[in-house]
Amino acid sequence: MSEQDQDDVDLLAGIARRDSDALLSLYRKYNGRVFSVIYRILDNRAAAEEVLQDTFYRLWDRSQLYQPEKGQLIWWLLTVARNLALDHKRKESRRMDSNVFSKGELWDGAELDRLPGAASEDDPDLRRTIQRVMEELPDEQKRAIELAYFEGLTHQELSEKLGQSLGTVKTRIRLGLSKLRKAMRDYGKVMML
Amino acid sequence: MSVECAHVEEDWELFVLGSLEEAAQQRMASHVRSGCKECHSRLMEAQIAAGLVAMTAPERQPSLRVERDLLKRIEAGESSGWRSAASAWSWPRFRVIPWVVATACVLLAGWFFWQQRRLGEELTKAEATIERMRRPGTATGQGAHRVAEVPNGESTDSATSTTTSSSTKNAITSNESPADRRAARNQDVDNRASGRAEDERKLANDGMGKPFASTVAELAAQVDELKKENAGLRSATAAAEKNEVELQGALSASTARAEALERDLEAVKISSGAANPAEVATLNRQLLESRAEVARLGAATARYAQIENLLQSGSTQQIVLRVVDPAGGKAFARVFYSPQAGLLLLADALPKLDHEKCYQLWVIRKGAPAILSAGLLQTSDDGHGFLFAEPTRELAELTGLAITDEPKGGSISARGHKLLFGAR
Repeated sequence: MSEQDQDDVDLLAGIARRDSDALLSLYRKYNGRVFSVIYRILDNRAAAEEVLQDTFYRLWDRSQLYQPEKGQLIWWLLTVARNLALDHKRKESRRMDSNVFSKGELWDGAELDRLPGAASEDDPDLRRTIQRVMEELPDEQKRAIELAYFEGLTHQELSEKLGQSLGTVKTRIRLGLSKLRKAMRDYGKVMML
Repeated sequence: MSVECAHVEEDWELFVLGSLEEAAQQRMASHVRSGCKECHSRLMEAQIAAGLVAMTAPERQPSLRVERDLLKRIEAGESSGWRSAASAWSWPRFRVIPWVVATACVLLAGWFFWQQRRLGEELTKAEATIERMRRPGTATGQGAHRVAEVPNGESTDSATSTTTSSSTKNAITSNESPADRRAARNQDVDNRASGRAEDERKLANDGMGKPFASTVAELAAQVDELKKENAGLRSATAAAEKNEVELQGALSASTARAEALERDLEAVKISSGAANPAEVATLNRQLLESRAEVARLGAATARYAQIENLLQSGSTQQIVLRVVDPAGGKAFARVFYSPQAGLLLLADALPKLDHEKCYQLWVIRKGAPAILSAGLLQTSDDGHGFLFAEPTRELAELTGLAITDEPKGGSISARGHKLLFGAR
């Protein structure tokens, strides 16, 4: 576990003791990155700020759901934030959805601690690398990924929106994400040289 | 991979994105819970890749209000259903309330109608007063040319702010000294503040005092804020002017010295006929040094003139940068910028960095690239920081500013810790 992860765990212990300063420290550390994702999904500052507050209140209220051994706190926060933002969006469009992912079960069963040692979401260079790779993806792959991640569209909806078969949509998402993953791995290798 | 896994082999990306249909999503979740280790690494990879997509979101910063509301919410110990006041009425449990409110509204409508007529005139009068009080402009002199009412009730075709600003600018273009110009500007600021105070008193005394007490308090807060901004601006302008005056003095002295050296050189050449080579060489060297000094001081004076121009520009905006990382200590920075006049940063209480690091300012903007370096801060041992950047069109797209600690000499792209941040 990195020094930063250990700091987060210490602050989480503070939250468990109901220390609001601990929550404030985590909020100040991660609010920008979490808010960026929420804002990208909702494209509305007032709604995004409300969801941001909900995300960190959930950390305060249910911090026991986060398991440090499963991965970095920022990934958990981003998962919660995305789900809350998409829920908000769906409620706005009167479309209720309750997939297992949004209930957090997937987090319980998944491990997210396999990022290369030097690479983390906190790394501005990795961030720029991923942004560059995303920009360089073929338009159809990039669009499919963005619609799925930031708009929360199902593959059926993606298929209809993009006018492509289900198989094509799946392939595009898989290929696009595969390139992001490869970029991250390559970055990790470079960082460890 | 088991036979059971075959049907989900290709769907992990969609699964982690939550993009499968409900039934398929449930089926895969069930498969995950069964503890199938063969699929575990596939799932993990897909999840990391999906998480990377989050990193492509353009950088944004929330307002400080969120932090304050979050703390209030925690302190209030409210349950997970808490919402801000603005959205609370959309809760299901409040959906019956609109009917009650509607009924009450019907009963109150008549009363309101009567009250509205009576209050209409007073309200119009109050709004006019408030509008008049808003007009004097901002600390950076952004006063639009409007017809404004002066405090004694008369009208004039030149806004109060622009009138006083014009007098200040006239002083600048005349032969008055920087001290005179500063005094004129300070008088301008004082007049604006006292004008507002006078308006406040009138508002409180014209029979509308109690109903508008909150408005008066709000305006008083605005006056306080304006005074603070003016103090900051005044301090920055005074510092720039002081430096400019000192530089002007040094420049004049250096120019005079260079001219004297040129005269001496000519005199030596004329008087010695064949000339004394050693003396001519010495004078030539002194002359070159003097010219270099004149050039350096001239550039510095021009820079301070630019700063003064920026601080007095009508289009100048301010951004306050605050600490976002504990390593920033109690640092504080204020930036004045204008796409036409440049960018000036003044920082205070900057923690001392080790010798291998420096502070670098970054402009965050709407366009691509989203983050641009604005330069390295000049720092002093007592924690002050300074930076002036030439005007660029990118400043028109500025959405935020950040200060990071970077390796000595700076970085092409931000690598260090984001210590201070401020948004428009």
